[in-house]
Amino acid sequence: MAGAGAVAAVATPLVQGVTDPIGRITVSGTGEFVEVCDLVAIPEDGSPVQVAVVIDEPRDGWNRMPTSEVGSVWLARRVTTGSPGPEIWAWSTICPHLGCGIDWESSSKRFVCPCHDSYFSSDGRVDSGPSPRQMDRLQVRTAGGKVQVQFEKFVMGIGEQKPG
Amino acid sequence: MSEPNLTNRPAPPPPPRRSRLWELLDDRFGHRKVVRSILELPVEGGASIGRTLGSVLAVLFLVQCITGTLLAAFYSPSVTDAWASVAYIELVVTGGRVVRGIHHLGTSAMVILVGLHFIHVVVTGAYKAPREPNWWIGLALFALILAYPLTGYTLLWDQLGYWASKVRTGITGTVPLIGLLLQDLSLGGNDHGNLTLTRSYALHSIVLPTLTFLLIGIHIFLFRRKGYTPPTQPAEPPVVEIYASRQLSYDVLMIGFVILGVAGLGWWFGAPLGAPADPTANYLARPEWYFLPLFQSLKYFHGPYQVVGTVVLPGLVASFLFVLPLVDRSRSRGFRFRWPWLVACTVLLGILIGLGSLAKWEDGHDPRLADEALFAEREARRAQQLALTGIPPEGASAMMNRDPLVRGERIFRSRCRSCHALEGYVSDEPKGPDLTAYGSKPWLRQLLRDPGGPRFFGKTKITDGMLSYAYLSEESLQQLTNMLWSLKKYGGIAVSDLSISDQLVAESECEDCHDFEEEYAVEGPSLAGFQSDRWVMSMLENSSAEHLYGEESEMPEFKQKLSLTDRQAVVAFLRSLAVRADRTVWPFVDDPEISTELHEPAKPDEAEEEQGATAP
Repeated sequence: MAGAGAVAAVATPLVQGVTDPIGRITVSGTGEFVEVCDLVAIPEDGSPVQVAVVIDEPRDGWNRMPTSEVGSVWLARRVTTGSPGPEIWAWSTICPHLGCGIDWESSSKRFVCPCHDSYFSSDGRVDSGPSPRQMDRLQVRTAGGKVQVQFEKFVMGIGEQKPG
Repeated sequence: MSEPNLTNRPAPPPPPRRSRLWELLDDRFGHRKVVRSILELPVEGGASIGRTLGSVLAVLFLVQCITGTLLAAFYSPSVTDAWASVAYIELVVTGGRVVRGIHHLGTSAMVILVGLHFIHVVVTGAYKAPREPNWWIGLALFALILAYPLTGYTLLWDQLGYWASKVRTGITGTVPLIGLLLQDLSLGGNDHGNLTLTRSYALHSIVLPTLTFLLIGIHIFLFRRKGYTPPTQPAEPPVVEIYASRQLSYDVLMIGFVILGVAGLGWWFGAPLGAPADPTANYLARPEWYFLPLFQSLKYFHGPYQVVGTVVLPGLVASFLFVLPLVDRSRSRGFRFRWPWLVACTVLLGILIGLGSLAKWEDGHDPRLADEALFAEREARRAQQLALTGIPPEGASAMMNRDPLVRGERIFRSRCRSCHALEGYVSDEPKGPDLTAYGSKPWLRQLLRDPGGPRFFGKTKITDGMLSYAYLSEESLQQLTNMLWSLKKYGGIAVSDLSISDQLVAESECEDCHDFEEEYAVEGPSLAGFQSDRWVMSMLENSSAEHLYGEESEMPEFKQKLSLTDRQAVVAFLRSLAVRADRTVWPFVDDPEISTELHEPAKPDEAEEEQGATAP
């Protein structure tokens, strides 16, 4: 018993040391609502616009970084059935397939991931290509003419949109 | 084998005179016996070029260690410093560019040589008993060699390294059960950051080399134990020579040839260094050529079958190679006895080459890729230009973000290009004027000649707003062009005061439609300070203003849509288009006259003025 206890006492910190960053938040900047742009900056015609997400002094390991752009989101006005007017939709630009940045192809009015040719329709659903799910929707709200987005990252390569 | 079988053996050299010191050292280290055992290793079947590949690889690995150590002496693994320190090696450190080039091309050379080594081993059947363990160690070494670029590219923290690392992380995540753990472990936490760099660095420069040295040691030890694979049908009488005759000279020659080749290519081509990582970009990441088969196969497995491309297929290939010496139970190494396995290996190689070629072919036929590549190259150049002025402690990404030209172009690409063609890129049906070489003299002259043409206002509501001046003589056209060009220097000036002849003033009737002194709104846009920062800014902010294009303008008002910093950046970018017209990078349209004019260096005063306008 005492031997097992001694082994555990030595092994636990060793294992913890080797596996340290697993599960640790080493880079901050996700999960909170962030103001990304003025409402008027989103085109009236429904076409999407990519805006940078600026985080105040994000932490990265030992650094407190200067306020910086840590990623970006797609925003668009979309008319949905049952709502009085167009509402703002926000998507992550990170492809659910393997994590490249999704682009907008204005000639075909589709989103496209340039790495492995995943195509998404203008509402973010998979048109063709390897992506296992539609583009990740983000929580969005408007306040005082400003657009706020809950900037999050999700597990890649699986069918469901799971934070990770 | 017995001694008398050795043919071609040179006459034993006369015993060298040995100094007492030599004897003393040999007594302590016993090196003479070791050296002799190497030099007298029997080479059954005779020397061949194929048998040099192992030695060449070993020496190439040492070259990678040496160049890697030199690079490590300057490298700093942190998100703020990584790109900066690599740029410093590239631009400042003496010979840094060449060392990077050798280190970069050395990996490609190793992959090629490992491939040839494998082909040689398969063809000669050397993987078969009793040499299976060495085949497995060879496979492990190959896997290690592929792990170097996976960790090494991340270290640059440039666009390619960053985005390729994202894809690699994504692939890791699809490994069943432990994928997400591995992902966290390889990232060093929840996202790309400082710890990703420190881990990649530790793996790349400590863990992987240690394992490689260890495995190479065992590989050579096992090789020495069983010796060269003898030929399947020994010649009569059997050709057996010792290493110190022809094989040694082949080895030395091949090593010299490959090392000189890699050094020469490294010196000539250098190693790529893209713009610093930009997490907001939609970067078009493409892997190194040896990963193209994997990259291409990822496109074919959709949705839940993704794991087939990322894990299952690579796993099957690795498993096939692993079990090859076990399942190939043919009695002899002769082709006749094991042709099914040779066919299987050839098909596998063919599929890999086919997939890689298909990836290249598809990319070659993708116009988007060509445009993205030019943009990436331009940002990379600008980044290096800025790096020479010193990179702020906040890091290279911040440096790029603050540069108005970089920021302006990024905004232009996402917000303006759906209406304005630029440098050969036509995304949508462009509505507004083509802004290639915007504001340059060739652009202005073309505007005067053909304002209603498709390159200018032909697709807008004001297609017939201005008459063409194509009927004017070349000289008059030039005068008007120069007049328009000079307007940006003056806040407001009467046309009669500008350096054009009175006759031309009267003839051209510019003033009938355009105001030059900011006094009144007339039919056409005011040209007071035409194309100065202020004029371009007011166009950007509200081109529908009374003194500009009025209600006929179809361009959105960007005053509300972009912040002041962003608007200033766009203006700086637009103003830079006149001077950045570099035909080698973006061929400008069809007019031969324009093309040649773009090559004329800007006159000193003009160049200075442009510089002043674009400085942050």
